[in-house]
Parts: sequence; C-alpha cells; structure tokens
Amino acid sequence: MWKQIEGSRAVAEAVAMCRPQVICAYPITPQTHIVEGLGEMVKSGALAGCEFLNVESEFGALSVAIGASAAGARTYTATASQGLLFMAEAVYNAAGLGLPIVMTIGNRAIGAPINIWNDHSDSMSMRDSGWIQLHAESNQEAVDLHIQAFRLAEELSCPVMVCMDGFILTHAYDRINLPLQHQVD
Amino acid sequence: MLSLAAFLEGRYAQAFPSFGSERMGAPVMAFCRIADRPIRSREPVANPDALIIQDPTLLHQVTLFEGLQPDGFVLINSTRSLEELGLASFLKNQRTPHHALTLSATELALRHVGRPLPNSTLLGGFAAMTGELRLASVLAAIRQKFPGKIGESNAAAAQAAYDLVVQSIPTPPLENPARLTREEIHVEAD
Repeated sequence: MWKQIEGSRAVAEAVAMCRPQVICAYPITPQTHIVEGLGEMVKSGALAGCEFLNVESEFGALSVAIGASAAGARTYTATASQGLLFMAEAVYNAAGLGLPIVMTIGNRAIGAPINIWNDHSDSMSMRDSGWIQLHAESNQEAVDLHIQAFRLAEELSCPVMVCMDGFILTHAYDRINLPLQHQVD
Repeated sequence: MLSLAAFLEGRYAQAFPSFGSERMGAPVMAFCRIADRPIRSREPVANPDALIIQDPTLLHQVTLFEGLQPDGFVLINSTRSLEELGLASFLKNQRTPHHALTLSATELALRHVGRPLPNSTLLGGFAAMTGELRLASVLAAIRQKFPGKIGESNAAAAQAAYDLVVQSIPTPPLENPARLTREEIHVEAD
C-alpha cells in the first residue's frame, strides 16, 4: 500500500508487521521516532501480544533484549551513535549466544564533542561483532530489509542490524510501498 | 504536508528537515522536492523554485535567497509589505511581481486556529500563488495529518490564505502556466 510517510514511521510499521513480542529501547536521536511509533502501537493495542519496556540505558536495552530473546521471544530494539557504543559489550554477547535479535541503527556520527549528523562510524565500530549488518539506501529498502532481517535472524540464529542513515532517511518523508500484514506473515 | 499534498495528486515527493542544535527557537529549514518520477537525490535543495519563509526575522540572518531560481516564488509570512521589509527592489527587479508576496499567515492562524502556527496557512497561500498544487489536495493533506477539529481549523486557515492570495495576483491559479519542474524549498522556524 503506497503511503507518503516518514522513514522512521514506515520502519515502525514494518517492524510491527513482523509481530515482535518484546521491544525495549532507550531514546537517542535520530532513532527515537521509530520506538516512539512502536510504543504508541503497543499502547493502543494495534500491536498486540507485545511487551514494550522502557529501560535506563542502551546497555540495559540490549541486555533486556538478550534475556527476552534467550527465553524465546521475538525481540527488537533500536539505537544510534553513542548508544551503540554504550551497548558494545552486550552487542558481542548477543552474537556469541546466537540470539536472533533485530536492531535498527539510525546511523549517526560519534562524539567530538557532540554531532547529531549522519555517518557510519557507529555501525562500522561494531562491524566485527558477529552481527549481520544490512544497510538501506532508501526508506523503501529500510522497510523491506527489516522484514527480511527477522527471517534471516531466525533462520541463521544470528542477530541482525538494519542500518539506515540518520535524518537523511529516518526523518525524510517519502513515497513508500508498505506490504500488507498477510504478505509479511 | 506539502509532500503529502503532492502524493495525493499521484506525484512523487520528498520532504526532510535540517536543523542544528536541538533547542526551542533555533532556525529550522526544511526541504521539499516534487517530481513526476522517483526522486533519488537526498541533497539539501540548493536552487529552489520556491521559498516559503515562516519567520521574517530570519530574512537578514540566513542567506535565504542565494540560489533561488530566476523568477522563483517567494512567500513571506509577514503583516508588512515587501517595501516595508526592504525587499521590494531586490525582489521586483528580477521577478514577475506576483512571484514575491507577503501573507499575514500568523494572524490568519490566530483567527482560525487560535494559535500562532502559520505553516498550514502558508501552504494555502503557496497553492494559490504557484498553481503547483490544487487547494483540495492541500486541504486533504492537512486533514489527514491532523484528524478532527485541529485539521478543520487549519484547513479553514489555509482556505482563507488561498482566497486572499488569489485576489492579489493577476492570473487565477488554475490558468497559471507556472508549474515547478525541479525543486522547492520550505523554510521555517520553530
């Protein structure tokens, strides 16, 4: 179904159609709109059978995701920039445990002293952590890659990051073809 | 809402913001491209066909007019005239007169919406001025973005702006041959 929609919102709707059971996240620009959108869907009941947890940090977010995924739940989180660095220890643990977690990265520069703009230094710093990384060129690709990411993660028993450019994609309104629920199922 | 209005007309559209430090009152720019085929560029719009300036206090702070296409459109939210803003000679020397207009959008928004939020009002003016979008598409986009009462009051403000601008230009918008072909810029301030 064609929609004129913000990239973050489109990703939230794609993730929701993958029927996650646990979502935990700590907000960080430019990823925040994605988990905000998912939080709304959980609260309104549009995304049923899903628990949304607010945690105290990014390290907490991925740690909760590891626990939930180890217990068998389909688990999702999202972060960016320093948030991913703060997760670093748990990023390696998730891969080492072979847990099929899906995580969106709204790619953003790291530090020095503060930079909200887009580059790939965050996800590249985790290149060798054992996660599969999928990088989207457009918001249509971002939507499609999230749906593929859950399938890949569960088939391969391996965590998957879907990386999309912060602001350039996350905050851009584009014409996007969103699949229908039965197509994703 | 501008990109949504274009989408509702079956066109391709892209909109994205550009801002610096995250604080209230900081200048914000946003860009919109409208085309009849998929848009691959994600660069900021450097040579806009149209400028919408929501906050006239930015007129002398940012290089707003740099790169504006010859005879491009300029719509400024102000109760003052171009002459009073000191822009008349600059804009009128190089442009069709009705391609540069001021519109008291904040006042219209206060009257219809009750809050000084001129953005949807300016889109009504933009539709009238350029003929690039039908008013019906703009109103539908506003109602889709803000369902219910808020959407209705914003649509009323956009309608009022449309009517006001139509009266001030010589060619009615539906007969206006001007049609943007490349890209537009949409400047705003929070």
